[in-house]
Amino acid sequence: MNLDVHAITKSMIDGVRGAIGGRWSTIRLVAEPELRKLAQTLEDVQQLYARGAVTADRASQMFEMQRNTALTVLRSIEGLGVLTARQAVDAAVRTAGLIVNRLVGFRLIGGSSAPPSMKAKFKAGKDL
Amino acid sequence: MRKRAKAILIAAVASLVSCSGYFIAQYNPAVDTGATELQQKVDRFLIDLEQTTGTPAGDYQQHAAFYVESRSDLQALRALASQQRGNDLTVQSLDLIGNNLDKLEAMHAQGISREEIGVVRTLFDTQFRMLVQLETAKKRKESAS
Repeated sequence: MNLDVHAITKSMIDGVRGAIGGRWSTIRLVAEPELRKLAQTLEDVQQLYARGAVTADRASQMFEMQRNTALTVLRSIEGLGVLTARQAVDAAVRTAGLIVNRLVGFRLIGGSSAPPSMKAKFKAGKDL
Repeated sequence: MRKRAKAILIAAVASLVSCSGYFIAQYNPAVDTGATELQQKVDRFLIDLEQTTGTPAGDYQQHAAFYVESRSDLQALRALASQQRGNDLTVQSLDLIGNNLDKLEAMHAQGISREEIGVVRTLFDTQFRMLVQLETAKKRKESAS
């Protein structure tokens, strides 16, 4: 029996995409090739076992290594997702900071690094 | 006055959101460099082993020191990474690499074929690449903000 690498890859990608939602488009380029390679190694081990090149014990050891690798991929995807979300949050906080600081008249929210065009608007006393 | 209250409310929400579960450790060049060096070391070892496996030069006893050294490198990286708050994902990835190194050692001690090494090499390559991707993303995020 052969494993369907495309089907395994697709189901892994679908699972990860479902878990990280809207951030998938940013992470896709990194995650997809790794998940595809991982699915290919599953088929490689299955093939080695099918033609008697490895014992069931050895195949099981290799599947455990694949599981660890899949978990590493997921940890990194999770981290990349957090960083992407964090960037979005930082951008939102920076924008909010400009408005809030102007309203309160002092720098209540720090770390403002808004685009120069936005700062120029504020200097000119214009609302966003 | 109402505007001021609104502003303070926005500020409170902004600081809450920015300090929430979204926290992730800062970029640490030592972890990034160390992971890249270990990746190259493991890959070089596996390339050599692919050539020598099944011969006396490929015997586990000839390479036992590699496992001791690599485990020590991993422990040093883990210690560095765990000093930073919000670095759980990096620490967990290092542990998963360590776990795979233990399994490779056990397989090597029992005897390992060239084809098996090929699969194992792909797995380590994926693990290290994903770890380095995460570290690089931390660096990118810092230079962007």
